[in-house]
Amino acid sequence: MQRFLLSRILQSILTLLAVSFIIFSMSRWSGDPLNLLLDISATQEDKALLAKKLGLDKSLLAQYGIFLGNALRGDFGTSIVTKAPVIDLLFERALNTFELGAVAFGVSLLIALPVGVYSAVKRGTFLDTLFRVIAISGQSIPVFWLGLMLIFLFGVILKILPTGGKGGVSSLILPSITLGWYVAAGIMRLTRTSMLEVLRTEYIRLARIKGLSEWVIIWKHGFKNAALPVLTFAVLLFVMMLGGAVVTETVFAWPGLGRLVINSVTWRDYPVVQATVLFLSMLYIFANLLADILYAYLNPRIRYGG
Amino acid sequence: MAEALLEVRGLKKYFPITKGVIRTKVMGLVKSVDGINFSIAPGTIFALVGESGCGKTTTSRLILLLEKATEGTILFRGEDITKLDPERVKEYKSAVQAIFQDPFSSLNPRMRIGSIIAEPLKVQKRLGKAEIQYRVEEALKQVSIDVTAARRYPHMFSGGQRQRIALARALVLNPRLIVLDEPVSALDVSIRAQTLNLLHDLQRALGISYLLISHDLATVRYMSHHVGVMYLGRIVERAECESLYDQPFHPYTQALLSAALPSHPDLVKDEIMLPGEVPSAAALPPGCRFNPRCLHRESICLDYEPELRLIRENHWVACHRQKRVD
Amino acid sequence: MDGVDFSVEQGMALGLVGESGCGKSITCLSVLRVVPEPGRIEGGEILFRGEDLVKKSEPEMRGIRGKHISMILQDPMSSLNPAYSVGEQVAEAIRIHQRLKGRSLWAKVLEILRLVRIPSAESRMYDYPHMFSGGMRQRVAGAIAVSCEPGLLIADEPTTSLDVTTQAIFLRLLKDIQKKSGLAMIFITHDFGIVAKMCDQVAVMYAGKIIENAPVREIFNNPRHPYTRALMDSVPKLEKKVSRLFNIPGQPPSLYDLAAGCAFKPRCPSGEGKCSSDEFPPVVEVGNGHRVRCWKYG
Repeated sequence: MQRFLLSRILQSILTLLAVSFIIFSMSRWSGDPLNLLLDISATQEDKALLAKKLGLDKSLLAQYGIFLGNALRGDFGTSIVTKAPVIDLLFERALNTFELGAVAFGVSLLIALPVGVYSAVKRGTFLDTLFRVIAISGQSIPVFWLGLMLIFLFGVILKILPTGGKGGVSSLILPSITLGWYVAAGIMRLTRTSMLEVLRTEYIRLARIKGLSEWVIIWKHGFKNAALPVLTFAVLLFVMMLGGAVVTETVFAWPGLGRLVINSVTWRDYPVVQATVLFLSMLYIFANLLADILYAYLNPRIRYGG
Repeated sequence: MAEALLEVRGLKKYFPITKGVIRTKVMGLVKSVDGINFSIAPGTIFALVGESGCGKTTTSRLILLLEKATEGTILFRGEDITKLDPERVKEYKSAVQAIFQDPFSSLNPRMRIGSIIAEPLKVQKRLGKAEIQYRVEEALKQVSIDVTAARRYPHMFSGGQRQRIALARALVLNPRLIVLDEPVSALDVSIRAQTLNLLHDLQRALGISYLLISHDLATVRYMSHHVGVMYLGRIVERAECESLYDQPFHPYTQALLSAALPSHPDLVKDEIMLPGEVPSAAALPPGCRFNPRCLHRESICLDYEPELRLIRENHWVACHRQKRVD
Repeated sequence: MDGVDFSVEQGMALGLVGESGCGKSITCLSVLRVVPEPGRIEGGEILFRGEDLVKKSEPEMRGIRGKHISMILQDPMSSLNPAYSVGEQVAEAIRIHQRLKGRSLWAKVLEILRLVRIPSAESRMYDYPHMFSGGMRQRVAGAIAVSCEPGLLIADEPTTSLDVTTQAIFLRLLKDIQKKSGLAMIFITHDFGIVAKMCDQVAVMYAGKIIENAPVREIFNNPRHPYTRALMDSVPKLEKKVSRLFNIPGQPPSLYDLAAGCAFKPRCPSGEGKCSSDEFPPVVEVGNGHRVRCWKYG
């Protein structure tokens, strides 16, 4: 298992470096940043001066080197728009997104796992069909529509929940539902499929022959094996959710990473774009690594070798 | 004496065990086949028996050129097939065909039966459509499958029928040798007889040789002319079929035969229980590789690996304790 | 499965012989009442120590499964849960049926693993199934089955995927356990060799019915039903080279659409006037405790 871990970590670092280089050079393709920063009346000398100041006169590789060096120290430069250090902005927004994400994800898991198991065990019944319909609708309904409808119903008509922004606990409810429905649906369906497959195995039949109770068979024997692919997929889903929270954050005016990326792209605030995209990529690579490690740890065949 | 159709000399296949993050360092060798010799005369059936891990399947793969031998020669009609150029290899592959254990995965589910059987013809020769169809129909008739089957798909046929279709595919090139790897293990008991009888009849009628790989000692006795018993990569006893079954000399052969199931309750005998387990082919015991489990072990057995020695007419044993009986 | 009728005595072994699809596995799953949906028991009795299992409630059956009647399944590679250690899987049954806990529980687990001759059992009981060979796993399955000292053990083709010598060791183990504890056994098999070696009584099944039932020597010396005879003649013998195997024409019938009358009629090498009847032949006693269902005798 150590060999496996070592090679995966190595791969992740290499991937991260490659990604960071791509992100770095991409932000140079959208246009010479000098033109953004100075107005049209600027002279060649002004340009040269600014270039030197920002280090834009060096080769791409050298610029990348500086970028990397700074990044490792947590220095992503200053936002062109707010003139504040990018890292502070990133940190604050990331925290907000995590808060929303954690609540959405936590509730999703809590609901989706038992529902998935129930659906599998009671396959073909009315409730199973109902749950599956709700799940598919969750994956088919556009997130923005759902969010807007929820705001309309609960915020405007019923007036019991806030319509947007970050406030107390009540402001978390609607955005979490909007963000989490899709995730819950995915987890529920995967749990159901995984459970169905596990329930068909010979070892489940043997557990029944041993005289174990249905509860023990379903949870101790069934779920323990069925959960493995679900949990590893859930890790990936969590990170995808974070990255895709853009729409939810926009609809609910939630001050998170997703909105940050959109806005900073619109305003050509490239240090912020760079840092945010790099951060999200890092999260994704890390989540993949974590999912692999989790799978290896939970699967006795890999964990104990032999 | 007629020239052997297939002759195997000193055949070895070692698989390296690698270590390291990028898997380059070789730590050891799995000696799957460790020096075997046997020959198959034209028109005869030679069986290789043994338990899992003994190397019989690897041997069949080496003969089919699905694996490259680490050492040794395989002579087909006197020519060393391990050293052939691609053109001659193609010829070899049309003369040597195979049937595998699982009838459900050996036929491509997306191809019609006719195409499956025609495939070897298309690969090997340039024949016209009419000629191909004729050959396909002939092959189906040989295995007693209705020629209308050519238009149908594998899933419409039972396991036994599929094995016969696989046989038709093997026969269509008029091979001289067919390798049969557990041809009936996956079939229902009442279907096995059908398939075995067919194999038996075709063999006699067409003068083909078979290399039969099996763990079922009763089937082997029914089908074979000669038998080789494999243990941990080597042949420990090799004899004409009846001679082996009537008087096995090697302790492993004796244990194997005593452990096999009887055909009548009055024929139940006490099994010879071999101590221990089969060791790993990556860590072979010194001397005779059977010695850790042998109840008749002597000191010489720990030092030298015995070679196959003639002990009776058409009967060879690799055991230090055996003296020639005449 | 249709009108099955057999019995097993304490300390005896019954062989239930037939090919795939004849209903032998379903018969034994029915005894334990674990037939998968949509199957269910339509009629008849299953008398275990005089009590009818068909009438028992599900909680009562759970108390019987694994404790009084246990089973070994065919494929050792898939019948053990890969997520739990071997020791844990043996402990489970003991824990609920014999209510042992803590040290006494694990001492019992160790004792059972030693009984089935798992080498270095003290350390290996913490190992996972994938660390064991097929033969060892089947011994673990055996350990689970005998752990609560059942009265009846059902073994469903337990040695099909095992090597020759491994099979011999496993069968010897079962026989030794049976001698020591007076365990009754039912062997589900398609192999007459297993029956010859292990069983006292044989019941042959075809198309969901038992068509012949006799003590083992009687059935080998004197097979009455044409199917039994044909099946025996179609199998190669270890002890001598037969000249030809008997070929039973056709296929075993699907249980979904059985014709009326004797199910073996289309494949039967012999046949008489009575065989064209629409009724299934009744059970006939032909002496020596030998019963057949064939129009030749009834």
